[in-house]
Amino acid sequence: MIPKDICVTYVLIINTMSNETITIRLSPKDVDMIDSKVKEGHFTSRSDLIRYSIRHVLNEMEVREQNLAFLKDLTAYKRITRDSLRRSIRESREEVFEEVYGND
Amino acid sequence: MTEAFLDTSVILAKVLGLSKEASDLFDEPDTVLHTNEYVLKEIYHVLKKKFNFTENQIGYVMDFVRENCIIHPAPKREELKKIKLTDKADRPIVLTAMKYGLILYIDDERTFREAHKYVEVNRIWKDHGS
Repeated sequence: MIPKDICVTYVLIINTMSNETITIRLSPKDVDMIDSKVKEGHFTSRSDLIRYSIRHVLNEMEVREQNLAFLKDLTAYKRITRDSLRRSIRESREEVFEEVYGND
Repeated sequence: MTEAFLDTSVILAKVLGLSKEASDLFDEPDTVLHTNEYVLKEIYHVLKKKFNFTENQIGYVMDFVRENCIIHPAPKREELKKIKLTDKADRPIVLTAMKYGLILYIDDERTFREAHKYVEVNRIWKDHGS
């Protein structure tokens, strides 16, 4: 729930390609930023910017998920286990401590 | 709302897919995750020097941590004197959790036992199989 005193009140209607309409609430600051980017010619309309932003975020999330899946495969390939991870952290901790704090 | 400080072991167990419990912690909606710059240095060190990950691969991990955790600075050298632990190298971890009033999540039996003197501690898993 967005507090009423700081929230606003612009309602944007976005027509998607399948003509589905969704409603979103935005702060005046966000609306101003959107409008300035549209005015500068980076996007043809508010909806254009919002559609682009959503696609961008979803793509980013997909890439991140793919990267994490890749790391898990790499972990299996390198035969890293929970025990070898614990040992490696313990060894590294001493070295990193000296690197950061010197000989305490 | 739980405010959790994640040790290197918990973060790496999650990103390397070695612990469902660590993964669950990241999916818990009522938990705010914290860590510190010292842990980031350890993550880099472990992945680079112990497991030969490339800079790119380490970058995936760092991006994930920065997007999911609040990163605190590493404690200053003089602050370390506030606590005494058998392994002095554990102090930057325990001290940050203590300083910000966070629950420490860790997978190290010895640190788990000792850190109790200063902070609330949870282990993410109890079985120690590989």
